[in-house]
Amino acid sequence: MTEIFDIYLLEAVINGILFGGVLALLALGLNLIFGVIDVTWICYAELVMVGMYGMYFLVSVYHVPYWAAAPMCILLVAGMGALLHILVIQPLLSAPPINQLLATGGVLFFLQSFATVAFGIDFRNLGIQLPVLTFAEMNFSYSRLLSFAAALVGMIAVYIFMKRTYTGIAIRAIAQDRQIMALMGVDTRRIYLITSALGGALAGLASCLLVLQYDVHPFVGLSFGPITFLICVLGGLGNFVGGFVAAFVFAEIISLGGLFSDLEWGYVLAFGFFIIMMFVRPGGLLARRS
Amino acid sequence: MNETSGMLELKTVDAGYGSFQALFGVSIGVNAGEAVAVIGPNGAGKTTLMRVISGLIRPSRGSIAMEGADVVSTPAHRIIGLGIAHVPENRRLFPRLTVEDNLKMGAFMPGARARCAERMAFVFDLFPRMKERRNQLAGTMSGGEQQMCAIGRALMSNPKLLLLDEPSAGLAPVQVLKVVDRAYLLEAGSIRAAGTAAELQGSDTIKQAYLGIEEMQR
Repeated sequence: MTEIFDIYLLEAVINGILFGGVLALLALGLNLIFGVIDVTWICYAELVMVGMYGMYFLVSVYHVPYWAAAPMCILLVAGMGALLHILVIQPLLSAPPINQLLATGGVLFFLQSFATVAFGIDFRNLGIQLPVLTFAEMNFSYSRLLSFAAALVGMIAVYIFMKRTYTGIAIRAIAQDRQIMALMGVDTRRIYLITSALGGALAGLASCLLVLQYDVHPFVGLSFGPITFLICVLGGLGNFVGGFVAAFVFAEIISLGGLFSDLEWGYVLAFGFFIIMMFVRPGGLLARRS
Repeated sequence: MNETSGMLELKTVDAGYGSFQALFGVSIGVNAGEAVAVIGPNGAGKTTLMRVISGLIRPSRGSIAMEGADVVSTPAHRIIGLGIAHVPENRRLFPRLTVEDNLKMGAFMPGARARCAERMAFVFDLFPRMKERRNQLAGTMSGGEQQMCAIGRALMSNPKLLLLDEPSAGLAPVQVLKVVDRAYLLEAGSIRAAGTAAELQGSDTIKQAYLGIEEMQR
């Protein structure tokens, strides 16, 4: 009896890690925008929703192979990120933060309503059914394994970009001292635009991966949006490493909570944990000493 | 003063922050190859003067030219391309970037990037300490090391004009005058005196304005 239970436990732990990969990817995108531009894209998960629709139409309607549709979709959402910056954020850069929040909140409702009108409220999926890997009596879906691997590759690519390129170093520098960037010859507007496109590209990658596991509908963003925000806040807004750690903490709580009870209880536990942590460590798990 | 063919020329520059005016009709010049000091008491406008040259703030009146190019109409992030590098007050390093990444930021301009390795070797030659600390986070170094890093970062773009804001903090003005060719005395946003270092060292204006010594015995 105990032996079987341990297998289930291990399976839940591993599934939690796999789930955490995509959450970490989403958190990285949101943290990037917050850390560099100092605005919060409330509509971040809705960009993912648009990307999922993009994948659905490309793959199911226009019969583009998945591997070709994915980069197109990443570019599409990257373009949307840049557009969001130019149309909504740039005019509000010096506005009070609440105005920026409300504006991106407006974009959230705009995108949800637009998707409802354009595509209806039907749940759609790619119709791609990836097999399940059975290993030592544990079951893992290939879609989750693929998602985890791709999310990891995406995050490593961002890490290398941030460490090795001049633009990447400037993105890290701008979060530390905005005013003197001009002295370095850095055009902050250009860096903001690149960062927005990069944040969009990460949402695009996430949408390619999530569409393998979830049905697309106009409100699918609600399944990932709130939890992505909680992860970012728990890790410390703008703190990349904190967001990464917090994503896996949340994923494990949801996965293990779901093992001992229903999946919904996993979410209740995760959100309860978040509320308690906000009292214990209001600055986030890895709060930066300032 | 004869400033007809200076490398950097400021003519009757007014500048300030919002409704607060900090500079009033400042005209100065710097020739290629000379060291020029701007001295004056706290709040005289020395930092504002540096900031207006490097484009961090824009003059409300007057002109600034660098080798004939109009600095005022050049976008702030392109002024470094004219050959002007600025080491700001309090160094303003990126504290959570390594020394090497801080130096790389100094060579961000496309023209400087190509010669980044060469310039970094030059800076490491000048400040061997920076080579030892190249992988250390800049914010964890001592004040003196941070000063080296800040000057090194400004030298990465191979500037023709290096603006140093308070490199001599804590030194008496007489010490500053020993290492420069010429100096300007800035007081309450206006140039009060100008001349060679030797001329100013003996000047009563300097003693009064800068040191606050009223020579009442006379």
